[in-house]
Amino acid sequence: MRSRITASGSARVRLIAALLGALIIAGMLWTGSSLRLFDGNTVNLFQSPAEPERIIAHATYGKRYTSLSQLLEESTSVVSGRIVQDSNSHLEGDGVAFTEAVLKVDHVLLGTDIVQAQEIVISQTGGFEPRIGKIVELELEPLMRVGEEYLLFVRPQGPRNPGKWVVTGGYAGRFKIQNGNAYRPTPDDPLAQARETLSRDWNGNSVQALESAIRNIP
Amino acid sequence: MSKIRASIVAVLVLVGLALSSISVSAHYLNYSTWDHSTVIYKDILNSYSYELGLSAVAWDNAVGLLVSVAEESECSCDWDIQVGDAYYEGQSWWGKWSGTLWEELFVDLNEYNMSGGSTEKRRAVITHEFGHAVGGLGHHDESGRIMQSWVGDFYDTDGLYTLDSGTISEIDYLW
Repeated sequence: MRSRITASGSARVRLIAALLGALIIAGMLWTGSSLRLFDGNTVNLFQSPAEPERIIAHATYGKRYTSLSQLLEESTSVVSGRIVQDSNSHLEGDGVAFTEAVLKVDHVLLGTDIVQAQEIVISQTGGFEPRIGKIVELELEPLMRVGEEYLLFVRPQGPRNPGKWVVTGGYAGRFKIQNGNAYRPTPDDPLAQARETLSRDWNGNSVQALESAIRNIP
Repeated sequence: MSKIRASIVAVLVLVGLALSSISVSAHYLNYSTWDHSTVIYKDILNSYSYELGLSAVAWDNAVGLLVSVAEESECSCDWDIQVGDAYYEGQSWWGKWSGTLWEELFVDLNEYNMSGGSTEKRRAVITHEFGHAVGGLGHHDESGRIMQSWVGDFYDTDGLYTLDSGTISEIDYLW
């Protein structure tokens, strides 16, 4: 009799322990689960240590580009292709991160300074910033990642960075290609969206139509 | 001459803010409590101290003497907003901010673009960035607002380089 009670009691203890364990794991998943270490730092239990948290930075741009021809005026080439490398980051100035993405050019729509199949290095604002402890990405210019396809208005970055390119107007000259359509990041503010005529005209439109419009710019 | 003027303004701003009593009443915005903000500037002798001082005064008036500014090397305080500028070649942004509101914010100014602008234009950009960092405001793309998304709109088109009445009203409403 006594051994039966003990056996059923220990089964109950195991059941309660299992339920508690499941509750703790569910709670960690629910809250995003960070664990505070003795040194005061925290580690996220469900995030790879190789991938720090991301944070959005907000930029103020000089000019609002309203047409493809306006973009072209300040670009030396218009190219499309796929990102083949995205990992080279460095810090400049007061700790601002920049990441270089390598685009393998499939098509040169306009311009003579880039040739088909060339791999061009594109300098983008963003990357891991030690001063914040996170990967910083601009709201309208998320870092381009390997495998993604883009149509870009580009120009040389400048004499201090020979051989590197920047996208004209930051986000303005950047069209992400997905399933044959072009997509652009758009500002949150509805009034800003209304002023973003390039996004209004081309967001979700076919890349073929976009390429045709670019080739037909007088 | 401009360096002397910049230094004089910076000193005046620092002394003025030090002498003025900082409000002790808490302000609430989006359920966050914020008593005052200490802005530090990393390279005050380098370029934009004059514009920074004027922008800080404008925001200081708008939010009720909550903003204090100091050069990094002179500040042994806990700073809230760190302003820095450098030459970020080819990048299209004039200013940007990142970090966590009411905790630690970084405002970065891009000398690549800023150095080609007039004093008023640089002041406009700094006042705009302070709108995010100090005022906790997002973009507001109505004509005549300093918080419009593009410098071309709020400065080149509307000629704004300091706080407009609409933004001040928004601050009064929010705070």
